[in-house]
Amino acid sequence: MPTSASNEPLELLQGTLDVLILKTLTWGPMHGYGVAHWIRQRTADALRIDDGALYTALHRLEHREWVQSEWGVTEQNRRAKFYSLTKQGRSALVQRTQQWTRYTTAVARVLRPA
Amino acid sequence: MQPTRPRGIRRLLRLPAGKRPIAREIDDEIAFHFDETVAELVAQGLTPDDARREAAKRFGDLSQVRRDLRQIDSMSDRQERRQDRVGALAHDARYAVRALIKDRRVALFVIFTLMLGIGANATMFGIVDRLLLRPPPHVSDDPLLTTIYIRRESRDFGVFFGRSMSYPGYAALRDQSGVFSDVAAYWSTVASLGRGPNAVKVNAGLATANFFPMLGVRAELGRFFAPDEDRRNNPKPPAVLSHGFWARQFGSDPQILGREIQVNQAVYTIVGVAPAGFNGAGLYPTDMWIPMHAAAAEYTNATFDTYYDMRPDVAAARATATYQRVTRDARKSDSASSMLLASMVPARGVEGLSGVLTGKSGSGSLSARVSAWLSIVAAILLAIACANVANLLLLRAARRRREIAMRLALGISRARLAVQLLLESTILAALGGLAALALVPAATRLCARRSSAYWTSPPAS
Repeated sequence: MPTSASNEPLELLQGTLDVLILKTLTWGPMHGYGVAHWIRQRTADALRIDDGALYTALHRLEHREWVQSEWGVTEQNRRAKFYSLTKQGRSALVQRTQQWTRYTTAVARVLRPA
Repeated sequence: MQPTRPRGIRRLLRLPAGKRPIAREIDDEIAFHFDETVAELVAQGLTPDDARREAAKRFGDLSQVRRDLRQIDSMSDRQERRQDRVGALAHDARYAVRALIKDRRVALFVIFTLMLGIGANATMFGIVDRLLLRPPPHVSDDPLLTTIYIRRESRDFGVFFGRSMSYPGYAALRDQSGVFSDVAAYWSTVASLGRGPNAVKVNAGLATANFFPMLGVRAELGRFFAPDEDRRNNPKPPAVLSHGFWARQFGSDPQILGREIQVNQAVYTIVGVAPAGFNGAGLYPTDMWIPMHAAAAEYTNATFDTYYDMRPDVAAARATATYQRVTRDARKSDSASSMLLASMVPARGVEGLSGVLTGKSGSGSLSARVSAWLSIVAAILLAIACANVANLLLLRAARRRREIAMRLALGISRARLAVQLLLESTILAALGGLAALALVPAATRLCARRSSAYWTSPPAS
C-alpha cells in the first residue's frame, strides 16, 4: 500500500469498501466489529472509513447475496451477527480484484514520471 | 465461536418464515459494535467517556445509518420471502409430478380423456370458425348478401335443399326486375392448364362478371372481368389468377398481365390477380377464375351453382314463383326430372365465405348445419370428459385420505395442501391441453377430407 505524502487519511474511492470487506471475510466468518478492526489494522489508519458506512456496506452486500449472516456467539460469550462469504461473493471478489489491479496499473502508468 | 443456524434449519425443513425483527437485530448489532469499540479504546487507556465519544465519532451519523440498514434489510427480507415462495412452489410442483408418476395409469387416462374432449372442441371450433364466423378477407361484409337455396321435393329423395340450378333458371331470376338488385352465379370445376406433358390440373372458378363487384373484392393486380367479356363466343376470354397460384406457378411475376394461357380447349388472357386470401365461393382452393359464359361452350349441360341476392326479404316468394315457372317450362322438355316442387329459400351470406345458417327457415348449407351440430356434440363430449375426470380424481382423492391425514398431522397447512392438489390438477389439465394441441391439426385434416367427400362436394350433374 503506497503511503500518502501527508498523514491525512485518504477518502475512500467508490466501491473500494466492498472489495475490502470481501477480502477481509476470506479469512473466515467475522462480525462487523471484527471486520472494522481488521481493516483499520491492515490499512494502518491510512483510509478514512466510518464504521457506520462499513455496516451499510455489509448489509448491502448481504442483500446482493455476496455475504450471508448468522447470529452466533463470540469467544467472550456475547451474541453477535457473523458475516461470511458466499460463493457469489468469492467470485465477485476475484473479479473486482482484477478490475482494481488493471485500474491502478493504468493510472500508475500515466502518472509515472517520464 | 459457535454460530447457530436457525434460518438454515428453517429453510432445510421448509418451515414457514416468521416476520424477522429487523429493527431489533440492527440495534443489537450496533450496540455490540459500540461495546466492543469502547472496550478496546478503554484498554488502550482512554476514560470510558472519551472512549464513547471516540466510538461515536468513528461510527458517523448513527440515526442515518440505522435508517439505511432498516431499509436494506427489509428489502432483503422481502426478497427472501419471495424466493421462499418460489422455492415452495417449485417443491410442490416436483411433489405433484412425483405423485402423478406414482399414479401414472390414472394420470394417463385423465390426460387422454381431456385430450379427446378438448381436441374435439378445438377442431370443431376451428371448422365452425372458418365456415360460419370469420368474415373472409377482401370480401365486404354485406348483411344483405345471401345465398339462394332451393327447397326441392322429390318422389325418390323426399325434401332436400340445394344450391345449384340450371342456367335458364338463373337467367330468369337475374332478368326478373324488382326482386333482386343483382344475381351472380358461380361454379367450381377442374380444368387443365397447358397442353401435353406440361399440362397441370387447376381448380377453376366459373363466375359471372358481377360476382366480384357483388362481393366487394378488388384485384391485387389488373382487374376482374368486365360485363361485356362475360359472353358467349368471346374470341379473347379473360382469366384472373388467385394470389397463391400466381406465386406458385408464375413466381409472382409482376409482368403477368396480358400473358396468354391455355385452359382446356381455349386460350385465355390473364387480366388480373386476386388479393391474397380471396378464394371465391366454396371451400376448394381456387387457382383461377374464368367467365362463366366463356366456358359455357364446354359446360353446355351443367347446372350452375350458388346465386347471390341482395334483397332477400321481399324476394323469396316472387323468386320462387319465377323459378317454378322456369323449371316447369324446362320440365316439359326434360321428362326425366323428378322434381315436384321447388321453392326459394334465402340464406344469409355466401357458402364458403361467411355465415350460411338461418335459424328460421331451417335451411343453410348442409356442411354448416352438420358442423354446428357436431360442435354441440363436441361440447357434450367435453362435459362427459370433465365428469369422467372429476370422478376419477375424486376416487384418487378418496384413496389418498391416509396420505393427506398424515401430512396434515406432520404440520402442513391446509392452504399449502390445497395448492399442492390444485397443482396436480393444473398439471394434468395442461398436459391434456398440450396433447389436444397435437391432435387438432390431424383431426382438422381428417374432418376436411371427410366433409369435402360427403357434403361440400358439388352435386353430380
